[in-house]
Formats: sequence, structure tokens, C-alpha cells
Amino acid sequence: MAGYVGKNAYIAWQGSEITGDYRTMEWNEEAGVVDASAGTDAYVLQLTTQVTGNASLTMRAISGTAGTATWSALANNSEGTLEFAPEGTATGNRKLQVNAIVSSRVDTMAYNQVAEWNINWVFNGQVTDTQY
Amino acid sequence: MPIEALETGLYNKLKADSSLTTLLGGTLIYNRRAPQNPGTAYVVFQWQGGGDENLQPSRSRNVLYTVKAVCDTAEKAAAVDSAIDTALHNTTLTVSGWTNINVVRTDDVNFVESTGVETAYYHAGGIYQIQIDA
Repeated sequence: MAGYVGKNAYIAWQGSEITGDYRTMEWNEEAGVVDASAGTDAYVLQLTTQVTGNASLTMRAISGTAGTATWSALANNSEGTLEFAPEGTATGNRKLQVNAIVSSRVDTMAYNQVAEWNINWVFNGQVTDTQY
Repeated sequence: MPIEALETGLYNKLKADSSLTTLLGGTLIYNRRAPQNPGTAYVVFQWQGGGDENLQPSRSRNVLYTVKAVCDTAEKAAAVDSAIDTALHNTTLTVSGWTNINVVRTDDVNFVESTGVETAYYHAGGIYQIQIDA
């Protein structure tokens, strides 16, 4: 099995690639469970509920007009397809897609540091995990 | 080459500063090594550290350069250092093929090099952080 680094990753939001300035991408899927234990149970009994997930992108802030366009496309509450290819889009590589909603975004600046954006999505549907 | 483009930009920036060249009596500005007996006041700059950041797909470089005056008196070295500082700190460097992000002074350089019983060269300047992206 071969490992890989993030340099070939591909990220697209609403059909537009936003990979160029990305620094980290986190893709999180989690099962929902509820505690169904009764008072006399010796161990916790869990029941599964819905699967949910979220994603978080950290990218270098984009300056000028291009920055305005990208920031606008990543507006809070905007909804669309989030596509993530950890190894790139070559044939056979994994292709993750999900309908998602931008839940928050942060613009972080420091006096002597390159500014960064952090974009967070919540998934609004099932993640499809296919290949290119 | 990124290094050549950056060093050309740095040289041109210093060379274009008339306050600096007036103090030096010309464009006595050298990369890495000055020639023999260049004069009583000159500037030497050299790579000190850094390189590609590899933080995102678009390329960015973060390098440190020592830029210092070498003069036969401390007063002269201080004046040249001040001119270098004015020319570089928080200014914009023009580097062919790259976009300037930031140029700041991060550290000072200040020492004496004895060349004889009563003679010495005074080194005064700074280490400058240069951030550029493609």
C-alpha cells in the first residue's frame, strides 16, 4: 500500500476548483448514536441514528478581485456540491462528493503572517465515495 | 531560477536608492563576496536561510538575507545601515515572475572585524525576511 501527501489533492466547491491556495483539508464523517442503556445494564447500549459529517478547509487568503470572487462563492449558508480528491483526479483515484452547506468561515490575519481563510461545511446528504 | 530573480530584485532595489549610493560613492553593492579593496564603504548581501514554503499548491518562498554595510568607521557603517533599512524594511521588492508579499527586517548584524593594530572594518546591517509568491 502506498501512502501519499496532499500536494495532488483536488477540492472543488459548486463546480469550481479551489485547490490553488489550500493548505489543509479535513473531511469528517461520523455516525450518530444514542444511549439506549437501561438502569440495570452493566454496559452502555448504543443505537445508531443518522450519519453526518463536516469538512474544514484552511487556505491562504486570496488578495484583490480574485479574493472577493472566491470569498463570495464561499458565503455562509451557500449550498452545493463539495468534491474532494485526496490524491488528485487521475483515473482510479478516490472521488468524494457530498451536498454541503457552508456553516462558517473565518479570515485570520496577523501583522507579520500570511493571512488565512478557514471554511467549514456541514454535510447535507450522503457522501459518495467513487473513483475518477 | 528563483534565487537569481530574487537576488537581482534585491540588488536593483538597493542600487536604485540614491541615499545609499551617495553614502557609498557609487553602486558598491555585492552579492556574497566583495572584490579586493572595494573601498571604505560598501554593501554585501547574502542568502542566510529559507526557501520554498511548500504550504499550498501555489508556490511561495520565504527567505532570509543578510544585508550589511562594511565600512572603515562605525559612524559610516551606521549611516549605510540606516540607508539600507530605509530602502528595504516594509517596502516592495520587484522580483521577475513573482509577487511581493512582505519585506521586513527581523534581526540586526553588528560586529567589528579587526584588520590590523589600528584598522578595522565595521559591519552593520540586518537580516531581512523576504516573502514572495508566484
